[in-house]
Amino acid sequence: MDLHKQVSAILQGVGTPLDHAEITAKILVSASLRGVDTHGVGNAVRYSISIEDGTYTIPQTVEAISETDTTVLLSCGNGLGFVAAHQGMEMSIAKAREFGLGMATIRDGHHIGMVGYYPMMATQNDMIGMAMTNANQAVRPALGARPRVGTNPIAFGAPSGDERDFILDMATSTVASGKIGLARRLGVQIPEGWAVTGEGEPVTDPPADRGDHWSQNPLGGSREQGSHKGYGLGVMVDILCGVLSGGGVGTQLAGGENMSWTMAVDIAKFRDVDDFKSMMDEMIRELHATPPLPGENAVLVAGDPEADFEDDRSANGVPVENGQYDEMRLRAVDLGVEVFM
Amino acid sequence: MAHRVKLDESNSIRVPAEDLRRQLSLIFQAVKTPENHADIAAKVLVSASVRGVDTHGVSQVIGYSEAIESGFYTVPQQTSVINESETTALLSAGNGIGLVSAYEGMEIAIHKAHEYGLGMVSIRDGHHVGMVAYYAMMALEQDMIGMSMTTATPSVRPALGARKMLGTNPIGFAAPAGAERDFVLDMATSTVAGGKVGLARRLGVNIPEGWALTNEGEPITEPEEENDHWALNPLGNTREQGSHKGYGLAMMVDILCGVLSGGGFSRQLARGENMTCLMAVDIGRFRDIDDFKAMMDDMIHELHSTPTLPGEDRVLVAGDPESDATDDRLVNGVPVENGNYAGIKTRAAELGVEVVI
Repeated sequence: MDLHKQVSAILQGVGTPLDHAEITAKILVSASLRGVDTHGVGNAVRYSISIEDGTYTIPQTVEAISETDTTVLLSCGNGLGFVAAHQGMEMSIAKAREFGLGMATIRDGHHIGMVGYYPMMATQNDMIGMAMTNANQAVRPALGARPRVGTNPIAFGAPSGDERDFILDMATSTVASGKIGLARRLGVQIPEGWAVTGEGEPVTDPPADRGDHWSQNPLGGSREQGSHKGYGLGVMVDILCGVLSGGGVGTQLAGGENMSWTMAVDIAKFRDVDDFKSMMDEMIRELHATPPLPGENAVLVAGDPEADFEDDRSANGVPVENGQYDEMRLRAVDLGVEVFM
Repeated sequence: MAHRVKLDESNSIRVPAEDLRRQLSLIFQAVKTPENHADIAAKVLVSASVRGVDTHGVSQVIGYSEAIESGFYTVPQQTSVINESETTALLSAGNGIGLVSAYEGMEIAIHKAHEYGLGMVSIRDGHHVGMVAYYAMMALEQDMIGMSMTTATPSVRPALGARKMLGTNPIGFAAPAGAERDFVLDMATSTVAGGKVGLARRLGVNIPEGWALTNEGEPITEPEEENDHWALNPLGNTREQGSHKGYGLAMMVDILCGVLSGGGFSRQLARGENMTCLMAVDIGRFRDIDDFKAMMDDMIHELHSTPTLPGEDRVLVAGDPESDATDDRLVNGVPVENGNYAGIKTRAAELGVEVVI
């Protein structure tokens, strides 16, 4: 709660309208609660800087460029990506409620944070939700030796009954970029398979900057282990987010530009929602009951680690790295807004 | 190594695609498949062979026709609509030929997308749909984006798990380009499709570590018969390299095909049962189709011009190998392995239909 107020106050301190600041704060705090700290509250400071230096246009106008019963092409107006993605998913849900399906693709956008947030908006409405977002090039194509595709994550959510909802949130690269950045901050090596040099040699020292001298591997890692699949999924994300919206693909985007896509499916148009949920429960229970590999404790289902974090952090508070904690307070003071934490 | 396991051309004979289509349709009709359904099934199977996806190609007609004869498939089949809205349909495939119900399902999805912008169909009571990308590709001719997915009985372990619990649950996705070739992704959510391990076994070659594990977690390199002692790895293989991602995608497919349709998730399916989900997106609702295609061309062109890893010829885009095979096979005929060629002819003769290949 304190974090939410603080993030919202910082964003309002740089001129973000209240409703947009509240949406953004809600999504950033949700990421922190769910243990996705790379996409959490610590980012409020840099968003506020992007707003102040004019990289983001604030206040923004999210505008429908073309719209039908089930589809909408939105412009994010170069503002906060969160605000347009949130609206895109709200519109997807409203359209799905009326016609069964709803889809939004969003151009002129920026970072939307934890992409898994948006499908969760659908699961709360007894719908299946999907969201994707692209980014400037960081990942090499299969067989290629230069970055050409963003880490382009895919999120998918489906509601369960007694069990926890299924929430998949995955970069289409072997790992999200944030993991490599984290390794660098912690001063530890990264495993072979995550990144290669422009000559194709494995990178184990996390690089300081982006460029043609190295790239992340697509999911699968090598030709033999299916790198064309992670690459293919990455391009699929580019098509739905960047080409369908016209906002551009990985090779065309500047750092900090992100196009997005959301979709909602109304389960009740297919079958009884309770029947759907009880089959989800059965499936999840069977997967949890799978005997684990030697040395592993238990088989998880997508969303389990995040739900565990959320249980803990909702009760005991969100751990914020000391550096980020100080930075947020300092930023609040600088902007002359109330310090809540 | 088997990671480029391919049909051995020296043991095969080239047959014109049109002859294969006629032969397959005649075989389907001989086991009482109505002509229109027989033509659809033949078209989908020959398309897989033309595209070089031989594991899902013409030789399958033997198994399908036996499944029809034995009554495992219900033919003639009735695809029925259980539930429908403007954009969605829940279909029962009536336990018929999966190729036919998926084809009909995609036609419905496309029709709905024409009317309302989007269409999605989930299909229960179904069987094998063959090369899953076929259905996504049906959307291309309509200037639409197509998606297709299908489930299967378990052969893949969950991340961190040591038993097979999920099908190889492939995803197909197709988007039209302009001057460049269309983008057509067709991928199992396991490291490799089950058919590759089977092919390696038939060819007597080892498979690389990373494709499959025993129930004790040991890598398998000598491919075994399918049994309960080993499982394929999900895409990503290990915890460190992202096995939870392939696993998560496989569950997504199970949810859209099996749970949304009510036909059941992988573990609930009997052998030979497959649930399917299909989707069409009308691009024109979002933006001008020519602009869309021009941007696809730009993207594909840039990807093709990426400098390669040492030892690689060129960077490909999803669908390139299949388009190359198509260019060759439509001109020079479809290579059919000698054994399969003889098998198809024998099957035709058995059923008393004309042998046209």
